[in-house]
Amino acid sequence: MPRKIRSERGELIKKRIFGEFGVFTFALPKIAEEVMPGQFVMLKIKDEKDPLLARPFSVFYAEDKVLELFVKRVGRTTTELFALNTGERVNFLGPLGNAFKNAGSSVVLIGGGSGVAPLNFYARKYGFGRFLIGFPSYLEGLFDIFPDGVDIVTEDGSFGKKGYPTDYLSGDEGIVYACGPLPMLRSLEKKRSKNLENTYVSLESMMGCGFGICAGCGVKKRKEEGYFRVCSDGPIFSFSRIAI
Amino acid sequence: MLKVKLRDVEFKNPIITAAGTFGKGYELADSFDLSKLGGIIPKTITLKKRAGNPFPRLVETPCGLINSIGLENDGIESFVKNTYPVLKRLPVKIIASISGETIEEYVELLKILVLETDIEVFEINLSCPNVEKGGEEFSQDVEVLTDLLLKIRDVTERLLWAKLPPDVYGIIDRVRAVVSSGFDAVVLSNTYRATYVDVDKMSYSLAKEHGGLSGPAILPVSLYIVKEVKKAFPDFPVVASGGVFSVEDVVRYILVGAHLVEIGTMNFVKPEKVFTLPDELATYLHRKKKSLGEIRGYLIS
Repeated sequence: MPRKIRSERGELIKKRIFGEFGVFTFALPKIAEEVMPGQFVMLKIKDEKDPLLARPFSVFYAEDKVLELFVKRVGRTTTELFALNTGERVNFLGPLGNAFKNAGSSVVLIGGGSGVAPLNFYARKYGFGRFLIGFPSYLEGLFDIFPDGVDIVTEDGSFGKKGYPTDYLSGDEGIVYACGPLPMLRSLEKKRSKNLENTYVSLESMMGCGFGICAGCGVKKRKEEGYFRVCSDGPIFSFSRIAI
Repeated sequence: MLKVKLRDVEFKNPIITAAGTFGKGYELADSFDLSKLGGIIPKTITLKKRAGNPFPRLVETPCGLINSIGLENDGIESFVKNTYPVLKRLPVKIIASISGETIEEYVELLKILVLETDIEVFEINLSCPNVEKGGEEFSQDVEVLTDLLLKIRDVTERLLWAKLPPDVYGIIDRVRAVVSSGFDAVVLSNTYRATYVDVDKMSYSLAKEHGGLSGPAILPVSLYIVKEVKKAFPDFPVVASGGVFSVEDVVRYILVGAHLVEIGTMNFVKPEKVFTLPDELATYLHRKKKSLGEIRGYLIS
């Protein structure tokens, strides 16, 4: 069923860069007020025909008419975003997709790389039992942006625990919310094979529109033929319903 | 002032959303004012439910987008039972797009829609580049196309448009078939067969290897096709489609003779924009001190 979305210009008011990651703070009054943890926005930096499409980003935090994105520099749009100066304005569509259900402060949050974004929003709005985040390596200042009590895991062990965040799950936890790269989600699926129902993942996908009209994104249904739309049925799904 | 009449059917203005670029038709109903539009075309309906093609189905190219969605839809039964009751309540004209794998399927689909709905206009999709059977294949042979169009025309008196694949060489013969079959308009054009390659993965960018190119990249070619067709058939209505991203693009199509203009890929990027185009068109006409009728085909006669 339809959700209300809007197009809104946002002004970059602060940017913090940590190697290939960055936190971008925008004055975006309307969307920031409406967006819930787990939802995303479509971002278009320049009003030009190339690159043509906007790009989806989960919201890292939103409060008081201000919205933050946590982004890894990977392609053209993210490179343009990293090059943006404060005071410049870009176009947003949002809020898009479904949100994490407020499951209270006992939930286990697990995020890898830029996938930590929607979980950080949940953690700061509703609290958490455990909040595991995984990055390849230590980056100066990066870990200060997360709430107190976060469990940091680095692949090379240069900071916090060594390995991957899924290494530190028993599989018997209650509700788990996760977002991260495909290998992390696959390992989560194994760990939580007896508990997939209570394991919710936020999926990343290439999207044409971000709000369910182009049929360009999809994830296979686990129990039947066909696909869910990542943008409008998700991006959050119970692992028991999807096959990745 | 922006009204367009095709036979006995009146469109509030010439701006229409293209099939496959506006979902089932109601997704944006709570976000934007649908009554601003001349009409909307929900995603093409087929007889049976179609899951669509495997992913990836989309790849962005310079100023364009290639899709191989594969007519994903819930089928006619679900359209009539679930989608149409919602669409009926929207404050906008609905145009139904249909596609069949056989001539009989087209006829059956149309019979069901005529019987079960009050929809006044049907767009016969003869141009989907992304299905194994039907779609584009019916437009390849003019005799087959004529046979199909005549059988469809027999089903109903309601307004019928034939949406053809783009062709810069043989389009005139096909449009002649559309005209002689008693159709009310031709839609020019659908997407262009296209492919793209991912050099890192050393593979095709789309799971189905190729798809249909849309977006600003195609506008000059689709504009050329409309121009050529209008020169050959000055009195036959054309619904133009392809790459519109601004009111200037809308005007371009009208100046070469289009009665109506479909807006497609832009809806993905700027969903709010299509709703402002009618007012922008009115402003343009005011500035030029001309009526819509006066600029339509201005470059053709």
